[in-house]
Amino acid sequence: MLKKINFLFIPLLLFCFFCIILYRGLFNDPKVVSSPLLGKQVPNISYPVLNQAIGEINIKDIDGPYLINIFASWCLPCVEELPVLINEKNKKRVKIIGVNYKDDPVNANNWLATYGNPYDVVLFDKDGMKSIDLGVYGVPETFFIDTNKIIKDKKIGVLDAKFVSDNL
Amino acid sequence: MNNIFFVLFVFNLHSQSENKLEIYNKLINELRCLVCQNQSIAESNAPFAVDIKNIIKEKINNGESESQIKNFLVDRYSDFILYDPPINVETIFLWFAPFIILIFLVLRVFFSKK
Amino acid sequence: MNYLFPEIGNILLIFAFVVCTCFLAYFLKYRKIIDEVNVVCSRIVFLQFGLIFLSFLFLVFCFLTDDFSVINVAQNSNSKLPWYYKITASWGSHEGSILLWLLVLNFWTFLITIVPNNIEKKVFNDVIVVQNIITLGLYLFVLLTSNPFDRFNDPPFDGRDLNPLLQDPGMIFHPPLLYLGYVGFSIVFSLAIAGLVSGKLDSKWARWSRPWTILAWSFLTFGIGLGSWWAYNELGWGGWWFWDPVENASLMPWLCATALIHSLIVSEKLGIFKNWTILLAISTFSLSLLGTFLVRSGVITSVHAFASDPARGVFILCFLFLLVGSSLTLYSFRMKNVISQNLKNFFSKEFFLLLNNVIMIASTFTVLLGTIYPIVMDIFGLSKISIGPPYYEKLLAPIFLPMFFLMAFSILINWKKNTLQITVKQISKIIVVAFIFCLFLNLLTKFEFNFVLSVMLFLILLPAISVFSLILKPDNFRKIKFNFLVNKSGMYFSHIGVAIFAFGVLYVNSFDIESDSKISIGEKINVGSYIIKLESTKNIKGSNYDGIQGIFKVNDINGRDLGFLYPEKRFYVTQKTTMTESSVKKIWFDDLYLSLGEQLDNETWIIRAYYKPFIMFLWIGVILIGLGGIFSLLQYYSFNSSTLYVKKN
Repeated sequence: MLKKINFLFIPLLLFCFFCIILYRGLFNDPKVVSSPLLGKQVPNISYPVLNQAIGEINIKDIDGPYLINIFASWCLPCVEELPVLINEKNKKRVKIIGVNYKDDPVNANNWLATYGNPYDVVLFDKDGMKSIDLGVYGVPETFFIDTNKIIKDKKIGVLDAKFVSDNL
Repeated sequence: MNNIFFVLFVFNLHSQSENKLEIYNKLINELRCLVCQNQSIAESNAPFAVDIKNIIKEKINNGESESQIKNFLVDRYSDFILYDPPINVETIFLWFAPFIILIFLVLRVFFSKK
Repeated sequence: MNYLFPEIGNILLIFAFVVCTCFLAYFLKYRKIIDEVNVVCSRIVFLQFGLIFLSFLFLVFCFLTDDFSVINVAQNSNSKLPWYYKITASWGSHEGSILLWLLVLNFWTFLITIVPNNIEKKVFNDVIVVQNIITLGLYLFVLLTSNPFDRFNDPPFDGRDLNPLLQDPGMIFHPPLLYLGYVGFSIVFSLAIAGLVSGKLDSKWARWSRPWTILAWSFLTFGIGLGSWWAYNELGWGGWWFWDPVENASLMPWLCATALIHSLIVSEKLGIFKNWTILLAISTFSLSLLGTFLVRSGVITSVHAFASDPARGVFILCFLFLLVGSSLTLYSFRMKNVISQNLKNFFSKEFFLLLNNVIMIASTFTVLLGTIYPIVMDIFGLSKISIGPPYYEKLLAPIFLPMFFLMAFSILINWKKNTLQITVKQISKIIVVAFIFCLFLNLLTKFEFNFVLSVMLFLILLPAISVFSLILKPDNFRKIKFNFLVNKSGMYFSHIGVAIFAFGVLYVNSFDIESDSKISIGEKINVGSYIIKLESTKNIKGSNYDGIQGIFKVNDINGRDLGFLYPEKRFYVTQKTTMTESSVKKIWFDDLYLSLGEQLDNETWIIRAYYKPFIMFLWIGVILIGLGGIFSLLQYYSFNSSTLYVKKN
C-alpha cells in the first residue's frame, strides 16, 4: 500500500523538477551560440583596409582594449546598434575596429556616410572567409578584446551599451 | 615492380577521389547551418552554409581528415555546429534515457500481473 | 467609427473575464445546489463564448479596416495585403493567437454544453468549473501581458506586413486546426480532475471521456498533417518534418493522446489501467500547455517561434506550474482511493495495448527529452549542443518499429481470455501473408528493397493485412453491415492510415532523388525518369510582391508530355524579404518538385529538383488517420429513430 502511494507521487516530483529547468531556461538565450574562442588569444588574421588599395592590418597587432564590430550595409540591425557604437566612440574608452563583412565597398561607404562612422579603422572581408577564424557566422557580431589581447566577450546581435561597460 | 607501384598509386588516386566526395557528402550532412539552425549544411542555401561547404572542399583537397575538419569547425563554432549531438559523458543521458525508460516500463508491465 | 473597433473588442474581452470570475465565485458559494448550478453553467458558457467570439470578430475588423493604430495590426498587416490574409494575420502574431486560444477554449466548453451527452450533473458542473479555471488563467495572461487591442499613441502610416511565409492558404487553416486539437484536450483533462474529485473513475467515466478525446485528437491530426503538407509545398526544401521544437510541441500531445485513447478503451471495457489513463489525461493537456509555453517564451530556438519575451514566459510557466502541479497533487492523493484491476492475461488484447502505450509514452518522452535537453545542458553550463533530425530518427525508429507488430496483433487478439495456441494461430496467418506480399513487392520492383528495408516493409504491412483480414472475414459480412461499419470503421481507417503513412515515409526516404544543377534557357536536366527543360522566364507582380517566374517543361523519359512547372522567386516589398515559391507536379502518387535557387545571369539559374515517389501516401495516410477518428464517433449516436441521441451504456 505504501509502495503504491509512493509511486503516485513520482509524476508530481518529476514535474516540479521539470518546471525548475524551464524556469532557469527562460533566462538563457538559445540563439546565441557561445563562442569557444572566449578566453583565448585573438587569432592571427590580416584584413585589407577599406578604401586602401594596398596594405593590410593584422588584428593581432592592435593594442587592446578594442572592439571588433562585424557589420554590413545590407544588415538592418547594424543600423540599430550604430548609436551605441557612436556613443562609445565619443567616450574614447576603447578603440573600435569595424570589419565590413560580405559587402560591396561602394555600398559600405555609402552606408557609413549616411548613418555615421564610429570606427577608428574599417577593415574589409569581402567573402567572409577570413572572419571564420573568429567564429563569425552572421551580422552583427561584436568582440571585446582586452589589454592582453584575449577575446574577453562576444555579443551576437544588436549591441547594447552595457557590453562595453561590463567588460572594462 | 615499378608497374605495380604505379598501378597501386593510380588505384589509390581513383579511390581517393571517390572517397573525397563521400567524405564531403558525409560531412555536409553532419554539420548544422548556424544561420538556418534547423537545417544541415547540406540542406541550407544560406551564404554561411555555402562558405562552410567551400572550406570543407578546400580542406579535403588538402588531405585533411574528417575529424580534423570537424575539429577545426568545432574550435570556432562549438559543438553546436555538429548536427548530431556528440556522444560523450554529458550526453549519455540523452542517448540512453529513452531506452531505459522503455525497458523500465516494459518490465513494469510484465511484473504487474497478479 | 473605426476607432471604436479595438475599444469594443477590448471591452468585450474584459467583460468575458468578469463573467468568468463571477461564475467561479458563484460556484464556490453555491456548488452544493447541483441542478441550479447546472443550468447556470450552460448559460454562463454561452455568454462567455459569445463575448469572446465577438471580441475576436472585432479584432478581425481592425485588420480588415487597416487600423494601424492597433499595434498588432501595424506589426502584422499592410494595406496591400489581400483581404483573406488580413484575416489570417489576426492569428499570425502572438497576441492574436492567444486570443484564438481563448476563443477555441471557450468553444470547446460551449460544445460540451450543447452536444447531448449523459455525463452526470455533478461531474458536468465540475468539468465546466475546471474549464473556467483554465480560461481564467488565459484571460489574465491576455489582459496583463498580451492584449491584441493595445494601441500606439503615434500610429504609423502603414503596417510592417505579414511574414510572406505565412501568406499561404495552408496557413489560414493550420493554426485553427491545431488549436481545435490540443486545446480540445482540456475537456478530458477537466473530466479527469472532476473524476478525481468525485472519486468515481469507472467505465462510465471512460465512456464519457473517449469521444471528446478522439474529436480533439482528430483535429490535431489534421492540423499537424496540414502543417507538414504546407511546409513541404511552401518552403522549397522538399522536407515535410524538421523536428523543430515547435513541431515537436504539437507532436507530443498527439502521441500522448494516442496512448490516452487506447488506455480509455481498456479502462472502459475492463476497468483496468486507471492510474495510467488519468495520468495520461493530465499529461496530454499539460503537454499542450507546455507547447504553448515553448513557442512564446524564448526558451528554445525555432523558425516558428514567436518573438520571445521572458516576462510572458514566466507567466505561462507559473500558470503551467499551478494548474498541472495541483492536478498532479490531486492525482497523488486521490488515486489510491480508486479501485483498479490488474492485468490478468499476457495473451490478451489489453496486454498488447498496454505494450503499445509503453511505446507511445517512450516516444513522447524521447521527443520531450530531445526538445529540452539543449536547455538543460545550457543551464548546467555544459557545452551548447544542438539536437536535430539525426537524433530523433536514430532513436524513434527502433522504438516505433515494434509498434507495427503490436498494432497488427492487438487488432486480432481477443479481450481477456486467450491462450497461447489461439494467439499463435491468429498471428501466423498474418505473418505468412505479409511475408508473401513483401516478396511480391520486391519482385515487382526488381528487389529495390534491401534487407533492412524489407524488414521494415514487412512490419508496416502487418497491420494493414491484419485490418483487411478482419474486414474480409465471412462472419462480418453476415452481421448487420451498418452496425459493423459504424462501430469498427473508425478503427480500421485509422490503422490502415498509419500503415499507408509509414509506407510512404519508408519509400520516400529510401528512393527520393535530389539534384542541384545549373540550367540556362533552352537546356534540359534529368531527374529520375523525368526530363525538365527551362523554356523561359517571366517577370511577375502580385499585390504585395514582385518576382520572376521560371517556365519549365516536363516530359518523362519516353517523351510523354507532362505539362509545366512554374517556380517563382518573390520579393516582398514591405518586409524586404525574398521568398522561393516552389512548383510541385503530382504524377500518380509521386511528386516532381522544383525550386529556383540563385540567378547566375539573365538566362541561367541554379535550380533544385526533387523526385519524391509515393509522397502522396503521407497525406492520404494522415487524412485516413484523422477520418478514422471522426468515424469512430459514430458509435456514440444511434440512428435508429433518425434522431441523434447518445447511446445509454
